[in-house]
Amino acid sequence: MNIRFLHIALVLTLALLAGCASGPGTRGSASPTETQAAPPSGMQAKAIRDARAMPAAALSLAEAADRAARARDWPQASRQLERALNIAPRNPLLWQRLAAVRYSQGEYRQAETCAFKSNGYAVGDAALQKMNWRIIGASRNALGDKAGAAQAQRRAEAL
Amino acid sequence: MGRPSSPRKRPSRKPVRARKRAAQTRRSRHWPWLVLLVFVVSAGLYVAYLNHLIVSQFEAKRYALPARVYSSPLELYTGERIDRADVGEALRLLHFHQSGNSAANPGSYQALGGGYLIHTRGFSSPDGDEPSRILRVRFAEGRLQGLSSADGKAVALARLAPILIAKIYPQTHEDRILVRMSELPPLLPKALVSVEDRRFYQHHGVDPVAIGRALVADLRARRFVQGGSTLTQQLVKNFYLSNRRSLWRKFNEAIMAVLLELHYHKRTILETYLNEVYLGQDGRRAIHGVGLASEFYFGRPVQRLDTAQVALLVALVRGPTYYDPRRHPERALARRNLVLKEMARAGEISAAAMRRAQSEPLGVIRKPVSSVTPFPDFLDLVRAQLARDYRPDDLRTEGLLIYTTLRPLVQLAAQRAVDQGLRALEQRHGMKRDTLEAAAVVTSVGNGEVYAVVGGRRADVDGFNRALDARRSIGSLFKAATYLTALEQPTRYTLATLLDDKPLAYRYGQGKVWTPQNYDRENHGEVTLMDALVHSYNVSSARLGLDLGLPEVIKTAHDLGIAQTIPDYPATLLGAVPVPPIEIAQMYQTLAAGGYRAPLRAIQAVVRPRGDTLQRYPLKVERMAPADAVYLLDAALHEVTRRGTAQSLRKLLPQGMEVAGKTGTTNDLRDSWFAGFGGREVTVVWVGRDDNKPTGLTGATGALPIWASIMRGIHAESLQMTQPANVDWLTIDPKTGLRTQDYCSGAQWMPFVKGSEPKGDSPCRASPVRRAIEWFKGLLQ
Repeated sequence: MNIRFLHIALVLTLALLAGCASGPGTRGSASPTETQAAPPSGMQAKAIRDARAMPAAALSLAEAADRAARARDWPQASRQLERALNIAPRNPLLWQRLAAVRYSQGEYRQAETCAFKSNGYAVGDAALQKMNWRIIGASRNALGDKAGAAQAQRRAEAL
Repeated sequence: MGRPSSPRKRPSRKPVRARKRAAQTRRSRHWPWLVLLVFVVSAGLYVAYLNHLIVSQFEAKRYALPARVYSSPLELYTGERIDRADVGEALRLLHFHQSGNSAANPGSYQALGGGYLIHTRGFSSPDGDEPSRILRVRFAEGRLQGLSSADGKAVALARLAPILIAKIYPQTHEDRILVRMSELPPLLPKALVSVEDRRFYQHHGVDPVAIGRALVADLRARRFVQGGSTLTQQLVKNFYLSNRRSLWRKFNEAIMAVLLELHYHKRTILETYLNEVYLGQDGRRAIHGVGLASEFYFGRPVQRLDTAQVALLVALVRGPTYYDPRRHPERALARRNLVLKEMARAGEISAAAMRRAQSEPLGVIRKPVSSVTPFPDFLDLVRAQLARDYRPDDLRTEGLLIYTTLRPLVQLAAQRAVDQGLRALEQRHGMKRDTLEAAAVVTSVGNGEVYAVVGGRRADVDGFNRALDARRSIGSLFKAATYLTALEQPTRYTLATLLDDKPLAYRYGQGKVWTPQNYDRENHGEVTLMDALVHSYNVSSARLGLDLGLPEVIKTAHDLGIAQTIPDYPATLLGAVPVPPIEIAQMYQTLAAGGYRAPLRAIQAVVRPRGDTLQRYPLKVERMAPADAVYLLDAALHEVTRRGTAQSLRKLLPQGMEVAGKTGTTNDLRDSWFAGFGGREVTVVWVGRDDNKPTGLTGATGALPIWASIMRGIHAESLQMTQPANVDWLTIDPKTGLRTQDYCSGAQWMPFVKGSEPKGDSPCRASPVRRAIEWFKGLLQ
């Protein structure tokens, strides 16, 4: 399981470091429509197409988290990711990274939940979802839920 | 023949008495030795006890420091929702001063067109060290538009130091700033010794010469004029003994002073004395030690004191109240000049330096700058959470640094909105001033951090915290639990399911009948589940809750975040449940975060004074409800703010800002609630009266405008819900609950969990012209 985790961590690290900062966000979204020509835009936030394209501030914190993770300083890695999530709260890559850190901390239930949360934001990103299902599988395995782990593994393979 | 026994007895008595006498003599001879032995042993034990007291408590007492509580630091990054006025307010809170010359020193800033040049102060925190640096900050359209260093390089992220929001003091309210001997101006300890204990470096804790001198002075004056105590004795008295003047205390003091000198170096004793000595009073706060006294009297660190100021601090040792330089400047000046004279006589300063210093004014600042910016309402939550993990004594003396999640700008905006909002409500509704009270809580959507707690209308009054401790009926806020329970069963209920809003008489218990009424006293026939929530219909909601089963609905409410016991009466379904606002914040946080409950936390980390982290309070998330069901409910709560009971928000919020939420009103209009969220913040507001009398306000007329004002003030982000993959939006005819075309009259968009869409179509109510246009559009596509 450790080897698998290291693989996960490595892939995530590379993914983060390869990421580039996006420009500043823009305020608000379309005004509520009287005509109801479409569902309200607030309920249909655009999925983040490229999870690596996060604001520069979040990226700098994610990199700090990676440095801490390489030094196996999990509490610090976790904290820096939390700070990054304060800036980019819907970024599935950050949630996935937090899931990996929780796994390393031995907090498997939290790892599973963070990976689920990441999946919620990773709509349309099969690669991210696949990794999340693997983390869910590994966490369930560690929790002794063999059937659940196998099910998660099947979900990962189906993607 | 027998002789009388008595003569025989007589001679035998004599030796017995003699033996007794001899024994008595022996005993009386040993007695003094015995007493001496007992005395020596007792004295030895007593000295050993005093020694134990000295050794076991000295280190702890030496570093006894109040816990310090900090806000979250203000983070600055490009794209952040923050404007120029916000950063200006943060700089004011941090006591930055405006400078004209390019913010030359840390703690200064220069106002530029559209932004600031800020010279930040460096600081350490559990999140890492932040360097002191010069930042150029630009704003545009309510956002931070650019952040760069002085040489123009882009800076990704910078932080302003956290604000000290409280100190948690020992019972004695002692406050101090610890200073090492090496950090003190060298003249300060020398001046102290030359004035208070000239033979400090010669004696061993007790100075017989000084005692003799004092005794002579006392006898001459026939009253107590001199103490003859050494600095060591004074320290012992302050640390271990009472203030009562008695021979026994004096005796203990002398022994303990000698013991202290046996264990510790003179330098350590002097350093401890300088950090311990009582030097003034600020209300309830006792000013101890030269570090804090320097800030208190001169507004500068002790390292930067000049000779005259050093002399004034030493002068105060003799009597901080009598020589208080603010109240009795003449006395203080005379005493200071006497100290300067003593210093010159001891050779610590030259005669010229003495004259120069004596001619200087006292140099005391008028009002001490408080290092603490109090936020008592938020602190109540911090204290409650700390109490779970720490003993009160540890908090008061260990010098712990407590880093909280408080966002001072959010807190101030929320407090302003409450204060102004209540005044406006009272005026509009013709109430006397101060009739209404309110509470508010602002939290993060995703990570459970509490940003602000408003416990009442006046932040400066440290009293009843309604946000944490008031338990008031929540009215229709409870309905979210009922509707979520329904939507978690997509095969039974969808947003398009028609509910019966016809009159209801529910029999329960022993012959009891419950007949809930709608707020408008009307019944609405069959309504979609969406509309029943959007318009907060009581009858259909009650019927839905009874169909689902009270235990199921109550379980959902607990899962979402209500920790209070919820009674299983039917009236519970309409919110006859007293709940503090903080728990409502937790409930709506779970809904805002797609069913992921993040336990609310006010503390981020607790750090020991030496910098090592004692405890972190990391983000935790718990999956409490299926994401698709929560998404459906959130869509309905969003609709509440567009066309339902909270539609007035559309006028109160900036154009284009979307939010979701729910109004709550209780019987006879006693409680007015609004709970809701945007993309990042969850806010809950309660308005009512402390005496629980009716206010005449509904959720929409009382709490809602204040809620909107808070969301505007904190530049809350618009709602951004991610649509789950297994959810589709369809247009529904609310009259039938069946599918229809989006151009048909009255059609409403509703989300459905895939597979739960209504079967069958509703006849389209559209004009022939409109139908023709749509038919033509279809051809073109």
